[in-house]
Amino acid sequence: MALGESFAGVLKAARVGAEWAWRALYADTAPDLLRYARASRAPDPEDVVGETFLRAVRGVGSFERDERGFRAWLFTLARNRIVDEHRKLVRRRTDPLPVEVLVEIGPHADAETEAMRALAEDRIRSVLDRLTPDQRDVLLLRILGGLTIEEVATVVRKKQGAVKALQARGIAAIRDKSELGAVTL
Amino acid sequence: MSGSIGPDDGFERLLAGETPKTPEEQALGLFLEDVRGAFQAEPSLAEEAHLAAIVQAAQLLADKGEPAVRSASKAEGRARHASGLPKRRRVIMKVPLMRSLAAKVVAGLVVLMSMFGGLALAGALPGQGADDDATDVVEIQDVSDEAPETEAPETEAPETEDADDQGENADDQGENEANDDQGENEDADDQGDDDQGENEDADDQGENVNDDQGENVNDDQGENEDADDQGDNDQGEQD
Repeated sequence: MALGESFAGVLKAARVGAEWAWRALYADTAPDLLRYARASRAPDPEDVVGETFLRAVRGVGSFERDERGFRAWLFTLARNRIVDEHRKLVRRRTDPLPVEVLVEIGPHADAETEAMRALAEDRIRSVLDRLTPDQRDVLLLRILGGLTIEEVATVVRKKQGAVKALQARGIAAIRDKSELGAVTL
Repeated sequence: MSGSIGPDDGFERLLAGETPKTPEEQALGLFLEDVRGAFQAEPSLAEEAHLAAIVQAAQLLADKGEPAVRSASKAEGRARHASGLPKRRRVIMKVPLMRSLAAKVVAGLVVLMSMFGGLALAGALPGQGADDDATDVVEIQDVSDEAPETEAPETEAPETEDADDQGENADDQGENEANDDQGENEDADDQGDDDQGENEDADDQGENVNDDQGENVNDDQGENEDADDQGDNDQGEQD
């Protein structure tokens, strides 16, 4: 964790609306939240990150845990948001975006890098899609979120034993149904 | 790759950043790298917009004061509100009786009543002994000087009570008379019920009733029945 000992002071300053504190918290957590949202197939991953922090702003006044707890709390908020977005996506129809908007929000790196990354992402997704949603959630929170078993249990609202079982079954499913070498870049 | 993924211990070591030791862990380590590489932490295009909105919201809530800052989610369970009202409400609910002035006054009166009541039963009140002496003197005076007068009210009271009782008894007697009449009727009814249970007796009752009706109303009816009976008998005889 980047903040470490200074987390308590940062949190105290964030409660009174200090901009530097929120910048520090955002820089520490937002990238991992964005990766988790992308891997979870959130319709708008960046919107998930923004909404997560806005909810954190409203709840930080009553937050009384350490930095690990703060991180787990943000992932909980993000996961709830993703679940809500998926539910809304089922209910509402999608409107296609204009080409100009797609070009503007599209990839900005070179084509080769983007192609390789897209290929790797597709391979990983093909492996993750073989898992159940709970198994996938547990593995992504552990790999991308860097959360412990206890923290994942808090995020997904399950017991630690259940999280361990989901993790083991997820790994076994990947081992049984996929050739890991084919996924490797 | 044909290598299988190791147990959870290997997964935990790889997550901690350790190098894989077995082929199984190597395969798992490659998978973890692939996942992390596929979903890299790129700089968000909306970072500045996010931060502007976050800071604005945080300062707005900070200006409103602490009571406005509440948990935005139930993810960590139901968070305690920052304001003090719910806590105070809980305290009130814990001791609702002692919160009102009337309850305190009533409680004090109950304590005083119980205390003086106990003293009165024990005869330890200050003026209680003098009253006992006075009553003793009065009783002595009543016996010696005005015995008839004092006895009269004492005897009158029981007499009036007896009179009342007699009156009540008289009323009761009157009621009993009525009840006696009713009892007779009930007896008659009971007899009737009993007689209904027995066919032969019912026949007898019918005869009795018919006898009564014949006596009270028409003797002719009884005579007619007798005539019918005679007729039947006659028919039987004819048959």
